[in-house]
Amino acid sequence: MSATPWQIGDVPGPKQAHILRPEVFPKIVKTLKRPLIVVGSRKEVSEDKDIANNIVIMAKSMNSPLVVSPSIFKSFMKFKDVKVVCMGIEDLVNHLKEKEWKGFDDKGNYDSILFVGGVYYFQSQMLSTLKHFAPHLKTFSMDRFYHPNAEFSFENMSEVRWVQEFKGMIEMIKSSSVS
Amino acid sequence: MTTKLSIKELESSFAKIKGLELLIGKIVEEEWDEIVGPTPYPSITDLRAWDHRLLQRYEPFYSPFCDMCCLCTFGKCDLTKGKKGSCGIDIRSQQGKIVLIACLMGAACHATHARHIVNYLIEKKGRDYPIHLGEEIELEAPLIRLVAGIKPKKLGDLEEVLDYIERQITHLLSATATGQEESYIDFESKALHAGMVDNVALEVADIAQISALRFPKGDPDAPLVDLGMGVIDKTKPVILCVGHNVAPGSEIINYLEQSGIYGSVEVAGICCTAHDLTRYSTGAKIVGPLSRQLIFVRSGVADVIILDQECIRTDIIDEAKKVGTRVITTIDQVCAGLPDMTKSPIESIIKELVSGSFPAVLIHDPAKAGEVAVKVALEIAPSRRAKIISDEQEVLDAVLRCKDCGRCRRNCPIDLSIDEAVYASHEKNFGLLAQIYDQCLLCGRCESECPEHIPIVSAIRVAAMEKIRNEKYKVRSGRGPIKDTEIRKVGRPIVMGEIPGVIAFVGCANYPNGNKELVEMADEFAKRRYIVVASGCAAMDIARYKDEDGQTLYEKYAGDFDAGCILNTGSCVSNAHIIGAAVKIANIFAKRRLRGNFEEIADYILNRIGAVAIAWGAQHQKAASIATGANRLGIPVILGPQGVKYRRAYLGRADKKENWTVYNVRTGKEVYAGPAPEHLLYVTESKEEAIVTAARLVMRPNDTSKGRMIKLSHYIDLHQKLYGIIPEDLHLFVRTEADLPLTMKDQLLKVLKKRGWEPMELPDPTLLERQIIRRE
Ligand code: SF4
Ligand code: SF4
Ligand code: SF4
Repeated sequence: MSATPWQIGDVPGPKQAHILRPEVFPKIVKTLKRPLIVVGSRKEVSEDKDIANNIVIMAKSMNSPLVVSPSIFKSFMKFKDVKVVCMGIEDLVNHLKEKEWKGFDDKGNYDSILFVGGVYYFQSQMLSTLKHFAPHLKTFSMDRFYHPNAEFSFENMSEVRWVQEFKGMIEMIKSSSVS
Repeated sequence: MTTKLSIKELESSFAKIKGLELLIGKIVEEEWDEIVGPTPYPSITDLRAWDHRLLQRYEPFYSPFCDMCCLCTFGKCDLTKGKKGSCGIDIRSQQGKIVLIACLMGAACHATHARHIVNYLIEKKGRDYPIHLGEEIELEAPLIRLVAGIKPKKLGDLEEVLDYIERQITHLLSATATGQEESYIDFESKALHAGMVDNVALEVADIAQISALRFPKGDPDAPLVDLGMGVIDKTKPVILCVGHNVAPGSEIINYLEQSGIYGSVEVAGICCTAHDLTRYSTGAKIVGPLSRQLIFVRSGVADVIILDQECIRTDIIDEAKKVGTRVITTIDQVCAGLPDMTKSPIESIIKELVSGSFPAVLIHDPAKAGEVAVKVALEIAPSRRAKIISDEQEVLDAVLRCKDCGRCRRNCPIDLSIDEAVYASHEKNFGLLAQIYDQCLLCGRCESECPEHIPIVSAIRVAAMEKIRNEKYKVRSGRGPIKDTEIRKVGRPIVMGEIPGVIAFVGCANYPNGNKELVEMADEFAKRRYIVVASGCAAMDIARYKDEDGQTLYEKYAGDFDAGCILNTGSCVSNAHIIGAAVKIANIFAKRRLRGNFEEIADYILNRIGAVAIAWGAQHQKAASIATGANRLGIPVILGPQGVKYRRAYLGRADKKENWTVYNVRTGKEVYAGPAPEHLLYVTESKEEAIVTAARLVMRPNDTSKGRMIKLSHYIDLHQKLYGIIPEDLHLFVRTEADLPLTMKDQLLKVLKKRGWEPMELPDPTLLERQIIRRE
């Protein structure tokens, strides 16, 4: 467990992600006005039904649409009461970096982007684009890898611990959204 | 720029001169009556307006790899949060600069490769040796004709093209120094220029070697040759060539043939040299792409390694020494700190190498290097083989040291669970290691991080030994150019869209999940009757998989440039023929003039020719420059996820209608033509995304309704099959109801209605105002 980049050489420079503790995130959620959850193509995430369900619960609780990487869209299309968009992540990031983009509901760009399930090195570069060219956005990485290019990132942790903490966090978000 | 002096007729007391053209002191016999277009030998700024037009639609998208700049002594400069460096540069322009540097590295590699091979062939055959690519190829050098504006007839004519390329590279490189270019858009324009000269260098190199060596000349039935780690006959002395320049390798074969012993020594190659060896002689064998380098060298099978240029691991000599393999480097780009024995007598070089007093030497003379390699291999093979004891036990003992610390995985470029695989070997379970072999890049970065110094790549080799032994495949040897007759046959259906597209699999072997995904992609498009072409490491990796009938794709599909075929053009430099095929279509089918006429041809390709490249494992700077050159000509390129590390894409925004207008040539009206092609350079995260994106990017404004219907039916079908839904952007690609696939028409019309679709005009499209022939 540490805040060194998951890929040892992925040291971008002086600006690196603040560590985000899963148990603290539910409090942050309340401050996010227009969140967007982005699910990458890593099969460990999409093929685990439990995790996919939890991501959807998170989206519903936060009133956030889900953008999922095209290759895993099939695992998410069955969820009906949440907006699920199938879109290439590079294309999405290209839209997000434009402050004036209208979003998927024509109501304007989002204010915070939550990444989960991306291929590490690909996601790292997408976060880098947003770090440099989208100062209007907050970015969060919720994978089990410390992503230095995010603004806030979970630290490195084992798969088992991540699943446990991720679910715990979503429980908290869910209950606080109900209350 | 070259100064051209034309003398139509001159009569003096000394001589009578007619039809003479003088180009910087060189006499060009001008027999080509095509009118010279606006940009022969374009300077850095001659095509800038075209670049800016492209970049306005396909904005550079940067993903910085590093937040700092350390290019001068003012640095390091922190470029985050909008900060500028001491020189005034911001992160966007700094990224443009880095991209330009990468493209220049690539272009310089191809230019030196071309220079070396042209010099070598001129020395062997003379300056007047004809450029000749076979009976059915009159348009021998589409890129040279297009860019340089000359029609090369002899090897010597290529020298002036190389002079031009080298000049451009110097000028472009100077623009990257501190205090020179400052705008990211102009860095990109310069990168496009670097890419263009790179592509010309590819063509120079390949047409020279096709003409002067005995390579296939556009032969769709080029022979099937052996490929794989298992095809090497270890009972014979083995010489391995690594790199890209075939000169020394071909001299090995020459010497063996002259000595009457060809066949008793194995001549094998890794990377593009291997392709070109099999183009030279079908008796040569391909070990595999560049990813096989470390593992094969460590096996100790090679007695002698010949290194030429590009993609050579910089630790290869050390690795070779460990297993007693002798090494000869042959090109000035790779001197490797070795003693230069070019001028030493052959017998004394052999003595030094055989005795091991110099296990590695430099010989800048391909013929001499070839002879030495053969003699040394013959002499050391018997005793070396007897001495090489299997390192199996040593490796198995080493894995027991694994502490499951996980550092290897965290240093793996593609995040493989190599830690789990090594640790599982504790329990004598080598299954995971053998499994990882299929995805592993065999780069060795994991082992250099391992605190226990476990030779992980060797462990993978031992675990996957059975697989390696059975790696025996067939690949069609690189055929080189596309014949004019083939272009005549497919030009119309491609331009009208009736052949759904040309999909080129190009680039290196830096795949996210092994080569199988590449094979699946190629198979998918060939089955659907796209024209599938391949080159370089990708062409090899397409062969590294057999179907249930035991066939590789090259055995399953014909090698023509036609619908439903898969052809291998050859090595990296043969990418020229893939790009050149698009140029040839514009000339042969559409009768567009090529000579110094870059913009018009690029405009033609962008708007009319549905060609897309997929560089699934792009790794090298050369792949960046080739792709950027293709982009300038209007050919989109799709990268695999590792391609994000090139730091720059060229992305269109389908939602911005104003970006997708074209002029209608016949009315002069500016009309919306839809986002086709949507991107010029796009990074995909998965195989599925790459396939569907390719099916989308082959669409062009010029497609006829029948053509668009065919393209759309594949796009919709692939989208449904791989993503599970009808494309969300369908309405952007349907111009009229006649574009809709008949079997789905009613269903799709309902979808379109919901999305507020309205029919649009089918223009005769161009981005160039000067192409308008009539204004209404
Ligand atoms: S080139 Fe500019 S940004 Fe780079 S180190 Fe020098 S001053 Fe800093
Ligand atoms: S050799 Fe294979 S496992 Fe090791 S770092 Fe390279 S790709 Fe990863
Ligand atoms: S780095 Fe070495 S010790 Fe650590 S898990 Fe990998 S192989 Fe084992």
